Amino acid sequence: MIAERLSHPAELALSRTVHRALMGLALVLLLGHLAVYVHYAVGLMRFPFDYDQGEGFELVDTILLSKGEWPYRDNEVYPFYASNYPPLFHVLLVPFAWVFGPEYWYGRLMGFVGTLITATAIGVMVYREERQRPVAVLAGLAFLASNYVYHIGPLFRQHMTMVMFETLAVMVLAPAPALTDARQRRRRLGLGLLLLLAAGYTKQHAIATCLAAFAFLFLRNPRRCLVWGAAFAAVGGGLFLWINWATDGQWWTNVIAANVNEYYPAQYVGLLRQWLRLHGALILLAALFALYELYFARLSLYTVWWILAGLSTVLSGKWGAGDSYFTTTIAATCVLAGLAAARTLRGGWTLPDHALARRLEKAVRPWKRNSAATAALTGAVVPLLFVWYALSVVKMPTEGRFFGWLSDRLGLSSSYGARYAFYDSAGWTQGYASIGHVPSQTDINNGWRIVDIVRAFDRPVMSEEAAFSLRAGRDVITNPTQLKNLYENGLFDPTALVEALRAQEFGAVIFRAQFYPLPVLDAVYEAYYPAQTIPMNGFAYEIWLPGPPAEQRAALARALESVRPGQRREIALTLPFDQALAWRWHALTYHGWEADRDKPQPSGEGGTCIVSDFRRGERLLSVELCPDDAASRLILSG
Amino acid sequence: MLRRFLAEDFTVSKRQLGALLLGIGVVALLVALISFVGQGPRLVQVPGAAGGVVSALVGLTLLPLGDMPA
Repeated sequence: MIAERLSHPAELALSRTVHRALMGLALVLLLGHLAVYVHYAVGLMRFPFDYDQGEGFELVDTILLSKGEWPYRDNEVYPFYASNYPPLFHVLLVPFAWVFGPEYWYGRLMGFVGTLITATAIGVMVYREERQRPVAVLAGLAFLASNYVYHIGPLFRQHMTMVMFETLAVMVLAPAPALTDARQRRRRLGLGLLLLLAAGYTKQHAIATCLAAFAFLFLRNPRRCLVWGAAFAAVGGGLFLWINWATDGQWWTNVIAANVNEYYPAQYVGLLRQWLRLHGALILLAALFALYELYFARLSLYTVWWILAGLSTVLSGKWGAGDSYFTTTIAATCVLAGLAAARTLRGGWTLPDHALARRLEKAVRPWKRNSAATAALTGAVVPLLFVWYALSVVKMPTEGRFFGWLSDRLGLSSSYGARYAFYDSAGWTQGYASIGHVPSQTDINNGWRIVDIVRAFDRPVMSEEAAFSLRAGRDVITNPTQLKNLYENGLFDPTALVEALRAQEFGAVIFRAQFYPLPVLDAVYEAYYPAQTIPMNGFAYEIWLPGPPAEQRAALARALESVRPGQRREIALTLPFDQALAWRWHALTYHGWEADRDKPQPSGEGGTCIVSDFRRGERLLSVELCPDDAASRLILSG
Repeated sequence: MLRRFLAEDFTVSKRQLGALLLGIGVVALLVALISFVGQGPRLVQVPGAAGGVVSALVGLTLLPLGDMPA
């Protein structure tokens, strides 16, 4: 009945109109996502500090390489710095570093342009295979609309450049085995594998795409796979050995060994659920296409890539990993979803002659008979899937003249409360980067306040983010998470860094998340005290200043252990009174004493001193601090 | 057989791919089991077991598809 009605010219015209309207709606929604993405990318390029933790260290790597130095160094000597990523992304940025110096915008621009190239490559693959231009455009835009791509794309991080090389490699390699012209085939295979090598030397995670490419070549012709695999291994392995030799083994330690981290299955499960929820509409289409190729056609590189990239997401459960590990899978999903959608719209599905196919043929026969109805239905369902996807991945700033108005109209409020004005339909799960907002002028001003603090010291500052030291023209000390990973794998001896901290060789310490090895944190707690907190980008940056010299701190530690009821110990401090006041509370807490309930009281002649009580278990201690010209005196009474 | 496997025109069939996936699945399950008994890394245990089961099942379903190119 429906089929008959849809076969009528008027109904046919209506179904075409519905299809066009829904395709238009999907296109408008995805273009809206692109506009939000461009707004965010431009906002980030104008921000002169670290936005996501670790960006600054990528800039340091670029600067080192621009000077002809390797970033794979001995972490146990000053400045206790080494990189944990391969060098290609940073090498590509070297010309920018020569011209513009240490700036964040060109790394972010590179990441952003990389995502645009990836989206274009996705569109090209869909169009090349199915000749459906509108669907090819939707598939490319779908990649840029993903919440994961959105917030990682315009960062000074190498991940999206890796995804770009992977996608380009797949684009080049997919048709290669079918080429009958041997010269053309060799040229394509050579270029494709070169792009794969580039992906691998941009970030190690490209291993999944490398495996996919060789698995595909193996399925098509094992001999070709072995020959090209040997050549690939020789070039890739040779480069690996050369860098390892040139860096005296630091390449292996920092890039391979340091990346073996603790695994949290719950983190992976949370991210997997989130990925399925956000990209469900596309995954449905992609899975359909993969199943079709698995049982009814030949496996294409696109499907093999989708499966292996999907399997590689299991690594997102590692400490330090996260949603970025899904971006290759998202690119592959967009390709497969685009192919499935385009093939459905042009009615290009065919079935081979085997038992399973015959059974399916029987099941779909009524649909095939009523081709008009089927075409009308698929013409509506396919764009609706893209609309469903576009509505699933909504994210946008919730302030500003336009986005403030739009979010109000849509009833969207910030997902991060007062921390920053940004709505994200992804919600949050362990491993998901809670970023995406555009930094404000206040954030920029506060960043410069921290830079001024760094500039005020004649000694270097140990900062958890590199930006402040880079802007102040000072040495960048440590790559915190790298030291933490190495320490936890028994590959970093923190003695020299701990000694430097205890000797207060750094003018200050700046913390954001305290991702340092425990002995390093302990040395900071012992020798420095939290003096100031400056908010930036929704994070609290703690400025820790040096406490008194080591002998005065040791005197306090001794006095705290030895003073008995009725006894008194006096310690002369070189710190001015106001600084000593902040240090005193921190030092007592560090040694396990808690402030008693009573508030600090004025004491001494003219009330110039401050006295307060501290407790540890049953022991009670009265701690009085008095100014002493430019210094101060600490009096402990048991 | 090796000569045939390395021939210019040889291509893997659905049945051969099925056998390969079945083998990979069984090995993955064994590795996961050994890792579980020996209290090895969790990264090997959970995904290894799940991946092993899926791989073996998919492999089994491909076996009846015969010489159709994979």
